[in-house]
Amino acid sequence: MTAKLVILGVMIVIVCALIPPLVASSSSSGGGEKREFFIKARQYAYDPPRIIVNKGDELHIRLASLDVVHGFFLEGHDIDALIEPGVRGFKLRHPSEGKEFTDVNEVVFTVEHTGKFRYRCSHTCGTLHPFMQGELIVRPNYPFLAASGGTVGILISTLLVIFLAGKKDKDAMPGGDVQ
Amino acid sequence: MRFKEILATLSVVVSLVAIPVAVGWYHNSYVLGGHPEGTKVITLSGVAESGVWTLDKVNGTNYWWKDFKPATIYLQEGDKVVLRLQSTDVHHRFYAPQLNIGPIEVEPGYIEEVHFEAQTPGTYRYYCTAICGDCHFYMQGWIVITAKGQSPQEPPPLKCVHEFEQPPEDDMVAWGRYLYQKNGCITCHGDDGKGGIENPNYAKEGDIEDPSYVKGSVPAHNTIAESFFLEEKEDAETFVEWLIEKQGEPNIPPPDVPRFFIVLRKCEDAIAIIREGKNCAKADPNGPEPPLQMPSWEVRLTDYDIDAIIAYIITLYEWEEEEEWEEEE
Amino acid sequence: MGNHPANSVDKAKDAPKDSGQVKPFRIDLFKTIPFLKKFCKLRSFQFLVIFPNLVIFVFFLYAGLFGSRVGNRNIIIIFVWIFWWFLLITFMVPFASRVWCVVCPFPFFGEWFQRGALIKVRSGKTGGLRNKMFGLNKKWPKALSNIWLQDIGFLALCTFSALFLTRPIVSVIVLGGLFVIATILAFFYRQRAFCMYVCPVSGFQGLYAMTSMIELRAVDPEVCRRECKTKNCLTGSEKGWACPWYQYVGKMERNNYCGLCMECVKSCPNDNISVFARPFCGDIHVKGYDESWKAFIMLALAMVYAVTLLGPWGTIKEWANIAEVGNWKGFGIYAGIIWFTALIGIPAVWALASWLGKLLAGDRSIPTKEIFIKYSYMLVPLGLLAWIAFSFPLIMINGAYIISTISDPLGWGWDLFGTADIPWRPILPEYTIYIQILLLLFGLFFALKRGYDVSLTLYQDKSQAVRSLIPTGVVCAVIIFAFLRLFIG
Repeated sequence: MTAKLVILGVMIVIVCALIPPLVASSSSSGGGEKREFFIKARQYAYDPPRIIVNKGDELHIRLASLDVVHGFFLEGHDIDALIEPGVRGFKLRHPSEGKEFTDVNEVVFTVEHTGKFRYRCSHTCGTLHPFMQGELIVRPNYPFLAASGGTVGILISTLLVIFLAGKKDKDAMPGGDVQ
Repeated sequence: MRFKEILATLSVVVSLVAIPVAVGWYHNSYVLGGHPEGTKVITLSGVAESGVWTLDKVNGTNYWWKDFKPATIYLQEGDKVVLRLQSTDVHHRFYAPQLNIGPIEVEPGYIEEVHFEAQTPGTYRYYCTAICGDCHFYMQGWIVITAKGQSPQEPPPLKCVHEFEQPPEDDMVAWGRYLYQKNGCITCHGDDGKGGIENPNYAKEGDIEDPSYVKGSVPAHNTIAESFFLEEKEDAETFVEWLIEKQGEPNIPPPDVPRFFIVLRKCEDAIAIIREGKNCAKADPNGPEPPLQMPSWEVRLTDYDIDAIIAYIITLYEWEEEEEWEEEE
Repeated sequence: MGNHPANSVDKAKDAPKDSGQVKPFRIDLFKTIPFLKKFCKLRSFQFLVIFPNLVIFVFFLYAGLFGSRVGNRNIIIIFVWIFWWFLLITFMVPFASRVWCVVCPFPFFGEWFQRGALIKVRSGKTGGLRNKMFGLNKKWPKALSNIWLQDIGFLALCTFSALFLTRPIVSVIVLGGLFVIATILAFFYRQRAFCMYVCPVSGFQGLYAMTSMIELRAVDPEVCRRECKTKNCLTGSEKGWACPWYQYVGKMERNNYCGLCMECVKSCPNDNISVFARPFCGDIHVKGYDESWKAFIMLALAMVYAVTLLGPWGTIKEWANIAEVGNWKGFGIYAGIIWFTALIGIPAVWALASWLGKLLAGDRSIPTKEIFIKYSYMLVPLGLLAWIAFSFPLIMINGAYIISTISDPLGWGWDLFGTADIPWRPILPEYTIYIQILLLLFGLFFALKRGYDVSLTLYQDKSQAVRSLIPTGVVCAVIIFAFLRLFIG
């Protein structure tokens, strides 16, 4: 296989990976809205399991527990909470700033990065605790769009490149014979 | 080669025996034995399923079948005690207000050690104060301290009742009664809402100065009909019927009950307490936090559930013509 | 493109100038690292590597029985299902083949009984072997001489994954059960029948070991063919035990059923066996439906786990967590979906794609069955990488538990190394998705690339080969897309 073909293959993958995010970014609207959520934790899931927002939205999240003490660790946003059943409000901390919890009624933050961020239970709550999680999806989900494009890109480019390489070998053969 | 073979065989046999022995030895001599001479080391395991702090050994081999007994801890005056608290499932909290122990957060899988000295003889209650499941409110027990030379009293343990007959949800009063029992309301408010359960350092808010108030126990609420100004039995019945009808159509006209809007207002106040919960005030402001607080039920009970509980509580009032009430039921 | 012996004939005819590549690229590790050879040749090699592991696993079992029932504070859960699993699927299998089988303690007692020794070799006669072995030494039933038992066993075991992944006592039953079954089988059947045909962990290791960057092979197969009459690797000698896995190294061309126990290295009279480093995905021949189905089952389980364990849906977790919730109907649905997807769903799609591939290639002489089995190799790198992508978050999220449980292995309040109270903290969780993207795309690329190598063994014509690959390639891309959707979308 020649270097040219490899470059062609890589180019195809890159182009395919770039198209969906570019399309999404040009057509995406919204953002900057105030979005309110009331997330209820129970063994071993959150309700709602999935929150879908737009980049730039301001999130107001309240938390409550339906059964036992749970946690709420939102990755990528420096948020960790402790939720006690039978208590209104919850305890919140920002792990990077310190260990102490403060009592709050809601946590407010603006989503700046796109993609999927999981919120998971940070306080052992029973057998399936390590798998208790929910998802915050910030659209447009560039990582996913790029990866999806990349999947198509790899499919096309790999098949195309091996096809072209095979063809080249074949074309080269009679020439070789003549010499 | 023969020597090597023997050496290998020996090391296998020895290590199989040595592992459990080493674990036990390390635990007993360094972890449990790390305390000063004469200290009583007591391990308490929180089990949510049975609603107990127990002295039994709890591990995977017995958790799934054993009905663990709540611990009654017997101490003698002057004992130096180390409580090793652990949870075997979910988050618990250990609290013995009269002995000034806790509240101690007990995260599953971690050991929390508490050191104290048994002083005044008496019978003291300990509690779990972090809601840990259906049996949470039963998760209480006793620490009995006796003077030297005396034999201890044996207080009755509290056992979690798991099974209640579930009535149809549309039988509102019965449903309210079921929720009242199942959610453990009876453990604090007493059977049939009679109240009187001890709650150390508790004072009804605003009533601290009121000498008529019995400090230290959860108020009864089988008299709620009266405080709703439902003075006649018929009025109470009408109001409960109205509550039931209101579920289907929220806009039905008010019932024929005297001072209805005051009744409604009182009812809404009661609903708000169930929904939002209430922290109690302290009889002695410098004393420990009262262990029994009204939790918020807002996410765990629906509006209908709360109305059903209210309806049930109204019917608990002991009217003078009791017989008729029973006929109605 | 394609420097594997599989297409060497084709290559040689097409492009004689490439004849230097006919021999696959590999490095003789025994030559480059003399110490390794010395170590593997030690009579006590097996004992030295298994024994420490045995001690560790016995301790794990003890911890599972009497330690804390809180899974994330008990060493058996954290070290077996988080740490060991991650090492196994991410490093051991893809880089070092069945290296786990070398150190695996489960068959230890059975093998001890069979050999009547931990270190030395017994000469003598047992069946056709040149060693004396104890036990009944029966032959494994012919009908079961495949990996179907392992296929079904692993699927059955994994149906209950939510239980043994989270409860120390259930882990004890699973791991202890492996010890017991391995030992009992050793009384009755020859050598490592358990590892070869029964062990549920062995099946997928064999399949995914095909990708491994290490192989044990004859240095020169010609030597075996011409000079070796005794086949000591298979039958044993006074220097080494007969191959516990019934392999004849002279003809062994895949990693699948080689347990790397190094007995053959000792018994080979010609010193003709070595361990080689080689490129990723060296073996490309899937043989038989049992191995194809292993690939389907593994892929289905990776997907099911991605949904159950890494997904946000509580109902599915409730179904899977049967011991706590007791919803048997839900569990029935859950188990039904797993078994259907693994045994019927994915294979049906694969069959359809293989048939379409045959049509596209336009060559009727090659049966769909052959395409179906051979192309299922594409799901080997694909499935392996999907599993790695699944396992990465597990270690990044639960890594902190490894550090804390090593100090307090039983959850009894110990603090051996001062790390017992290290709080749980995920390691860079927000970057996990990027690792997953790279892994999944890499898997797809290798599936297609090696798929092409496989197709060249079926089709002379290269454009035919590519065309036959399109439908299965598309299926692979769809599978990767599904994983992306679950992990990232």
